[in-house]
Amino acid sequence: MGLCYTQNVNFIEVRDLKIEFTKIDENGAEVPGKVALNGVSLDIEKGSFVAVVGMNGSGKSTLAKCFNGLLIPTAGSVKVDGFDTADDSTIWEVRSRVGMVFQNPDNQLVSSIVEDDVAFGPENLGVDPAEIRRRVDDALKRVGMYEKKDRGAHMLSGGQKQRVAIAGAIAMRPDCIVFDEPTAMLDPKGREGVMSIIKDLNAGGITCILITHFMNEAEQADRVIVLKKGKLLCDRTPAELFSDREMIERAGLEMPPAIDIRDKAGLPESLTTADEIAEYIAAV
Amino acid sequence: MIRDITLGQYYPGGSAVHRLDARTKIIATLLYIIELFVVNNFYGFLIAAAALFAVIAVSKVPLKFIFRGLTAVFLIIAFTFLLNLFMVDGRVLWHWKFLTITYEGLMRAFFMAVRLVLLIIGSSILTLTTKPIELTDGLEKLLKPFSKIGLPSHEIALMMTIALRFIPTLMEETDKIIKAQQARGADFESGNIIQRGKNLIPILVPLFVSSFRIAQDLALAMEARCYRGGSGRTRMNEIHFRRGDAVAAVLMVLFLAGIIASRFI
Repeated sequence: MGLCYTQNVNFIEVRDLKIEFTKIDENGAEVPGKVALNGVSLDIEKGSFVAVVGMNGSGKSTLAKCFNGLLIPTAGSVKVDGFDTADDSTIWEVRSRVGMVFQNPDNQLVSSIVEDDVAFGPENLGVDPAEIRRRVDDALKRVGMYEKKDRGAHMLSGGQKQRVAIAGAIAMRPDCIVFDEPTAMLDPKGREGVMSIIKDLNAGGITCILITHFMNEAEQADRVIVLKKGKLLCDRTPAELFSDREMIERAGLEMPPAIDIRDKAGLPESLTTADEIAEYIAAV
Repeated sequence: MIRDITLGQYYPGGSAVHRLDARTKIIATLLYIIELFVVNNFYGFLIAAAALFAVIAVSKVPLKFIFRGLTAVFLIIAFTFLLNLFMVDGRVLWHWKFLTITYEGLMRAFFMAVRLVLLIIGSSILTLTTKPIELTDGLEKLLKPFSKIGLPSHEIALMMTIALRFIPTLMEETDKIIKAQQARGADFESGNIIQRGKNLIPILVPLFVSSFRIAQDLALAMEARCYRGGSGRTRMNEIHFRRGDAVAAVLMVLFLAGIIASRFI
């Protein structure tokens, strides 16, 4: 790789972010509507794996859409790799650096055939045909869908569609991928597959931001950001967060199942991950 | 029944027909359809059918797959057949009360039915052997000359890609809505045709709403993947005319000549 990036380089910088939706009143005039995010500031380090959690309506999906300029701040700023998302002239610089995977696996595939869908992003970027072919094959191999590249998208399961959607993001060679509740509509097996791909991608150097309401997924991140009613409630490591029952309750969340078992069984609190707890139980 | 429509479905394969340039296939299919209406006798249909089955044999698409598409339109074919059978004047073959079958009517009805069957099989061969993306790319290139007079060729092609992609999704959605309404006691199976038509409203309205939602999701996903219109885009598989296309063109000309000759037999 040559130059080694240090872990504390900020890839995304969010400052005093406010998102306020406008609505049209009965006279046809725009009036201020719901404030989805207010005064949120945070940094995402290059190569990190960050989870964003919060109740329904906490603004976590809204935050996700700010990371690649799908939503432009009402006030404050979001900078990606130094580019301001509010700047129209560099919006494609931002979007080619930050890929995005959405919740509904059905509604984000553009082409009927797997490999053609994966090619959609690089085609939009104007990449050379031979290079697109390489990227598509590589991306499909990384998500384990290479054998199904000729298949029709409608013949795949939800989990497989979601993996194709991830391949579509990878093929654009982004520095960062935002996953907006990618597992919410999947069965347990599909969920596990998607999580292991996210972890692989992160290990391969891609910054991953995972919006989720599954605490056992948040637990696997380096850092968890908790939102409540559009405000940043806290920003800690999973171990710190999940040892603070009061904070979890305040955010309206629940403990990851493994931590719950640990506390109910009276196991030592020094065990903070599902793997550690499982090992401890196996050893006893 | 809706599920049986093979039009717009792709059958993966690597045959000579699959490898042809999409433009060749689109033009050949159009010519074939036009020629079906040029044919006026038995020999012409024999040539047309033989040519079609030769193409099917080369394409290696299973016959079962092709005929499945026909079952969905069987009613239309039967209706056309009956209409022609009883409506044409000429030498009377059979007469009962107000029903009359004439020799000319029988021939016309038979030809029309064969024509429709060949037409449907012919066009499904196009979609079965051509990936949707190649089909729309081919169409985009064919329409390109018209973009000078303001025809949005790229947008039309993209609309087709998306429409083909979302046919199965919308069918699933329809299925879901029908089941949900049935669970609430909706009745789609009884009553006369007007009643039944009215009963479809509780399906169509939610379907409409959900297709808007899907469109919004898709638009966001496309924007997130840097879609910004047709300019500056490249293609993973650029389509090219190859030797096979030249061979296909020669065969097509021979076929055309055969069909025209058949009119004078």
